[in-house]
Amino acid sequence: MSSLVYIAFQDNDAARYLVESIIQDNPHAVVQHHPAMIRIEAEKRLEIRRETVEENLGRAWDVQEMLLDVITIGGNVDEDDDRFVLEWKN
Amino acid sequence: MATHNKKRLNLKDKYRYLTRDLAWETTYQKKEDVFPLEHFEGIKITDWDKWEDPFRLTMDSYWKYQAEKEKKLYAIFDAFAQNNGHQNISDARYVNALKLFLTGVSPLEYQAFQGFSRVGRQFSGAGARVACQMQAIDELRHVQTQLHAMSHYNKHFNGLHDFSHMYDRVWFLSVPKSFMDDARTAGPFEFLTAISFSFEYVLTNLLFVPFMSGAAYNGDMATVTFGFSAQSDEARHMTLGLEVIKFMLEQHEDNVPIIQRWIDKWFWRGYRLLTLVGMMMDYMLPNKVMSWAEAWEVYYEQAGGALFKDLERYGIRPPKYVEQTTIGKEHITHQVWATFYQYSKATNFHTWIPGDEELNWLSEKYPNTFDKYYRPRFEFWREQQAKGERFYNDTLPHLCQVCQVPAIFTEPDDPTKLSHRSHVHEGERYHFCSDGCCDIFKNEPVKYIQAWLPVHQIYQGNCEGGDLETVVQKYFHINIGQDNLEYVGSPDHQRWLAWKKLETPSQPAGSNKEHDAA
Repeated sequence: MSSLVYIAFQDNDAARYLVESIIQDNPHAVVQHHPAMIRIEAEKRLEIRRETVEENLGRAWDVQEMLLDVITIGGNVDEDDDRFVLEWKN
Repeated sequence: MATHNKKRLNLKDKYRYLTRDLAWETTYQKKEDVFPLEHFEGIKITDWDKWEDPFRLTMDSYWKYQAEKEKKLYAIFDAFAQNNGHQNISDARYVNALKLFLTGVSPLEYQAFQGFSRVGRQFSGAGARVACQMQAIDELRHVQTQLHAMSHYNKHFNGLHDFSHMYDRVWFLSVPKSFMDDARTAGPFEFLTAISFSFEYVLTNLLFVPFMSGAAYNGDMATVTFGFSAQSDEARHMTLGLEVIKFMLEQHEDNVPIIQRWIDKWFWRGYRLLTLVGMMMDYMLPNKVMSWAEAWEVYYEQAGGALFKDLERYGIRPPKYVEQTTIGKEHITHQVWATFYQYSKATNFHTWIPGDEELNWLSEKYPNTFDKYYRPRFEFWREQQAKGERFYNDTLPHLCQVCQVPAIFTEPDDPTKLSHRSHVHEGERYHFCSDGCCDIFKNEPVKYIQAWLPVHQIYQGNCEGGDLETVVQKYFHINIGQDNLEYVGSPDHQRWLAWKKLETPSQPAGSNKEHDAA
């Protein structure tokens, strides 16, 4: 059985840049569009990197800003100033 | 690119100062007297400093982000109200899902607020206390925003007028109420396993994600917004749930069997509770996003599969009776909608037989079960209704002593046979819907013999009267003929047709034979 981590965002303007950045940094991620919601799943690990988001947004971005648009997550969370990681270790 | 001020504390340090640095060792009182509930459950904690909250949200950021969420949310509520958003939903039947949500789910948020406030006082570890206090504030915000969102619907639809009174009395609302009462009367570690882990982490997605996406698909901007705004807090709660479990398991091996029993219990209780949500998705959303079975596959089987694989290293196995849910996912929503259809005299929302297009959708989504076991029943009832014999069941159902759902589910290996278990405790026989609920009772009989079962209470004369009508009107505060009964021809339906300038049926569907002459 596969071990998928996932994250879902509200389908809004802020999330557009987040999703774009996630795809850039996680080529194995799969994006699904639902009404009002964008869900991204990936085998084992998914990473959001501040640097990539800032580049796409064109401004400074605090990793915790994602709390405004996130709907749900699955996987162990590890967060610091530069990245937000979802991971299954098994 | 942006320059970050290096003098600022990083996240990990800020979080450490907030939690550990604000805690102290007791001096003039014994620690176990200050935290008296920490030991009786048998959970052994050797080092609270190992507690890690991966979100590391400090109070300043918490208020900043929550304030921003609220501003966005209330701007949308205003826009929805100002633009008569209730007239732009897919169909007025949809609002019946909100009536069930308001009476059955929103009060749980308030109970969760109380629960987290209480347990947030009971842990001697500062990290756990801070996380629980923050979650308590979140839960209070959820109940408030939900009430504000639905107060707009209350101006235009029936059945939303007295949710907190109903929550404490109405027969089917004893299902969510008993769930939360059970959790809140447990010890602090069991409460966290029940609510933070089993409910928030394992099951809450099923409530807030596909259903809310469904609200969007049915034009309900207010609900999807409060749903997703609440769920944005949920991402933190889920993380807390997972951390709680890992923390307890890592602290001492003696904790493993205790936690396994709690996981078994609370998974089963949550599964039974969510039958109501499954029914909302399959039957109460006129525009359908995903079936209950599909949602169960994505949010339980797939996500839960990965989770329990991860927990295997601690000696934790998937919840007991999980295989019954794989069978049940193709049955339970049809069984529970059929029950509400019959018992619509005693509900604060309307029920109906799905239209042909919806029946076809159900046949397609449930190829193994719907046509064989359920469609013929709904079609028969539709025929009865057309003949003016809309079916209402006037008896009171037999409730399960633990989950309090009527004993309506079928045997896992035989969908034509009702599942019924019973057990004698101190000379008294108690009845259950399943092996899962019967096991829960056997582990804690003294707790569950005290269950307040609505049907028993009505028969004992404790609900303001002996006949259904008196109980419904006087005890439940359900307005007969307005809030309850069939949807077709109901005041809600008539009003909707008037707004939409559609032809008003002169009679409720099925109330006379001439109805379909037009």
